[in-house]
Amino acid sequence: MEQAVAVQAPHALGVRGLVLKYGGVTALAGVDLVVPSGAVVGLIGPNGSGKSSFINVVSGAYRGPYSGEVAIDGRDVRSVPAYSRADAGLSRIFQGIRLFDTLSVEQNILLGAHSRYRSGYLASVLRTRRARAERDEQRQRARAIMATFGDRLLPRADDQVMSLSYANRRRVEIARALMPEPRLLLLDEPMAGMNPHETEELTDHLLDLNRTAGTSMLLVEHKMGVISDLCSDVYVLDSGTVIAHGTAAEVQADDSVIEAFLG
Amino acid sequence: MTTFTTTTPGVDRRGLRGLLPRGARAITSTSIWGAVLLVVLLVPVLQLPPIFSAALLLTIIYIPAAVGQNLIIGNAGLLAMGQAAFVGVGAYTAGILAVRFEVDGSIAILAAVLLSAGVGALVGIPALRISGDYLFIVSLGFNLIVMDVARNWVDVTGGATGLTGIPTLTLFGMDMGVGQTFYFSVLVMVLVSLVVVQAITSSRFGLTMEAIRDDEAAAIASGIRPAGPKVQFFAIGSALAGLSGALLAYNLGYVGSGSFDVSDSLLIFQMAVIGGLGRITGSILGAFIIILLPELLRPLQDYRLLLAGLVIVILMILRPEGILGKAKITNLIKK
Repeated sequence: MEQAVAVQAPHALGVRGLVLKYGGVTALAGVDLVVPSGAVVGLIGPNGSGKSSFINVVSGAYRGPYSGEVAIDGRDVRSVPAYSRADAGLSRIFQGIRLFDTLSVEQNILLGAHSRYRSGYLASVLRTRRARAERDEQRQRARAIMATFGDRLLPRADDQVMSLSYANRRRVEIARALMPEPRLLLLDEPMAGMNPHETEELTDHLLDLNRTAGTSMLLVEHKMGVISDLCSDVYVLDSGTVIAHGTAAEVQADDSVIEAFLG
Repeated sequence: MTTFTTTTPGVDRRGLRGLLPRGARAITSTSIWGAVLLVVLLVPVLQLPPIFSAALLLTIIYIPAAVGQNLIIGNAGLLAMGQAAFVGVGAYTAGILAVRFEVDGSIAILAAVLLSAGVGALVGIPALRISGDYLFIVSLGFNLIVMDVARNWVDVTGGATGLTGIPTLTLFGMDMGVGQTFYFSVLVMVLVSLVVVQAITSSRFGLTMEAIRDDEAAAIASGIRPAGPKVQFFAIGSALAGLSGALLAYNLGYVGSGSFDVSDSLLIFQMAVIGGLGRITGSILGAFIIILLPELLRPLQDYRLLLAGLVIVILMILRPEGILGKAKITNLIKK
């Protein structure tokens, strides 16, 4: 039954024939990649294989010319600026952590809800009834999302994010990314810098999120264990080309993949 | 990568009060500012020497300009230094309207604030494309242009002679005179502007601006469009300078181009930096240190810039985020 729904719904991410050249260097040479709705898809590849370029095209951070199709949740986003892609259902976390360092945990997470507000800046300054109601609603949602991380974030809601541990800052970043209720979550090496225990905890959290909220994810990660645990489908990128595609076990056994990583 | 290299967490956000025990912080903050307000309110009644009340009035008049500078640098993270130009736009606007068109002070001041905001928005637009030290140079250049216009557009500004014969402030037909009533009307207008600033910085709008300052890429990924808040904060900061300018024109009864030079911009810049970026109270304190202190210590007058410079150098070494601030100025320059 779940399968039938998945077939009818548009892909969370549909990329076809993506070609990206920086001057004479071809970063992406015709990449096809699909994240089916509700799926967790892995993207792996050695350094310089084009993963970052791919992520930057999908998130809209790359604004130069490229060819090919990019659709989020069935919507062509090629002409959608990066700041509007949250509206299109995309949320991302960065390689390395990017937070609003001088602000508190709760403020950071609340800012993730930016695209959900219907009242504007002026209404927020004037404290109109609607602006206050929306603010309270988002505050409650922020609390609820913090609560999913157990007692990691809630007791620190008013602390400056800089005072938090690395793993907790990563949790704040993920909580912020969840505020817009994304259809597609772009995760760029979320487990980097985490110890095995923290990695396992975050893996469980992401799995749980995928099951309960049905959030689709594209996961870039170096830890193969994480990829195996999370992803139904894995793409391997090398020199801007998809050299293998299949389950984690399949791509790990693939000769060209082994060569790309070891050769 | 993160550009803010904040050290001791907690201390930075709360300013010097961070050094005090938790419970004492709230009390000191409220009581200190309550005491300041009380002194400011009592000054005209206390019959203090005129030199003191005049200096205090000048300090109060410059507070909006300093706070506006702080909004631009501290809250928006836009390193611009040309507030005196907007003080000038405000002073000339109010002065010309009062002298040539004999309009009511309320209209002249409102017009000064709005025109400064408009000009500020125009200068803020380049801030979308350039940042850090480049914006700093562009804003200085703008200051020089305003000075040139003020000196050479003789028909309108009075040129080197300046604009003379500005009448006393009338608000809604009532003459505020030159004594206590003028003092209190200035005080009320400045306090109202501070309430507006507080409403802005504590709102979602203000928070969004700080998010853009902290990490623009992360803000964009969260669905925030940086252009709007940046230009709007630049306009608001300039509008506040325009208010200072209009009040200054009424206070002096004269507008001369000499008050809006780059060195005046530097003084306003120092008020914001010394007091602390990202904190309204910091800029108020900065205005007191830069204006009131040298006015009171007459012999030191000639050394004002020197002293202010010295204070800044010492502060940057001991406390890079200013006396009450939460953001280091050096973080803005690196970008």
